[in-house]
Amino acid sequence: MFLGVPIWKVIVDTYFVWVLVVFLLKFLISNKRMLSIAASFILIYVLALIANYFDLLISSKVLSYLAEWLPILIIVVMAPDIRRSLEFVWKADTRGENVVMGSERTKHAIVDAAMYLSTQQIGALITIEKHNTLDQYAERAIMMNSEVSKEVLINIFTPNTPLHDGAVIIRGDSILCAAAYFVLSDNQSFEKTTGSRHRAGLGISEITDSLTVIVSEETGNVSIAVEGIMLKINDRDKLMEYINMFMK
Amino acid sequence: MKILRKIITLIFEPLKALSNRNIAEKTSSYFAKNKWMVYVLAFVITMAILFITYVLNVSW
Repeated sequence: MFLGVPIWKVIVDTYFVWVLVVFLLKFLISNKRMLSIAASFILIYVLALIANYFDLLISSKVLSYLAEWLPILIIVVMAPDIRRSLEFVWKADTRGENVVMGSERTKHAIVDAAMYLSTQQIGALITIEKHNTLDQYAERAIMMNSEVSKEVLINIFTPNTPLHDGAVIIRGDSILCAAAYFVLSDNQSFEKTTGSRHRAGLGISEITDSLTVIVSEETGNVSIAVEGIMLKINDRDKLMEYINMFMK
Repeated sequence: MKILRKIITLIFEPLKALSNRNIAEKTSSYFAKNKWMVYVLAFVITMAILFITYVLNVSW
């Protein structure tokens, strides 16, 4: 007996709670946006507890209302993210334990391809995976598992070919897939005329730690999207510098 | 001067000061690098829940 409860019941209880907590943690860390929401959630609960403890008349009432309604509000607002995170938790990570970033040859191939596509004004979206897996996007795309080379990348984005629409996902030294579709960013601070290719690159950078190289079809401009920020880079060396920093 | 500015931001805009620290980004990267930490953290949280429920007898 443990505090009046049979030991086997405590062990089974512990196991069930642990499984649920692991599930919840994996669900939260799979998506940066979910994690930010969870952090604000915790903050509001802590503030509500403090306000209740010190009997702060107004703030305890306001924060208690907020703490009550917040779960419903989050479910409504974050429905797409919740769906994606739930999908991710159930799926096995196809990567090995250690994340291997691409070699020098891969970096050069990406930069060369981006610069060439820029001169030809061919639109392109190249996403480089880091720690957060992009499996959930890859499995809906066309799997390639081929070595990264300038020629293959150019060929993928050549207009009027089956794979040109969508993104290429690069994992380590290989092209994981082509024609992948991401959720578009709804960031209001960018111009309303920002194209869907740029919004897709920005969208994936907001929820994962990947870097995306975007080549505009209209202007031939090269941009990178990382951590929810988009930078216009038309210089080869600068692009190489950013990719080098990212793929360290 | 930098510290003073940080303190002022923390007083006037605490939520902004917290969001500027990129907590979600850092946490996400840390757990992606150390996958086993999820299980350790889950164990710690489980133990805390059990302690609150069984020892402190707090009802849910």
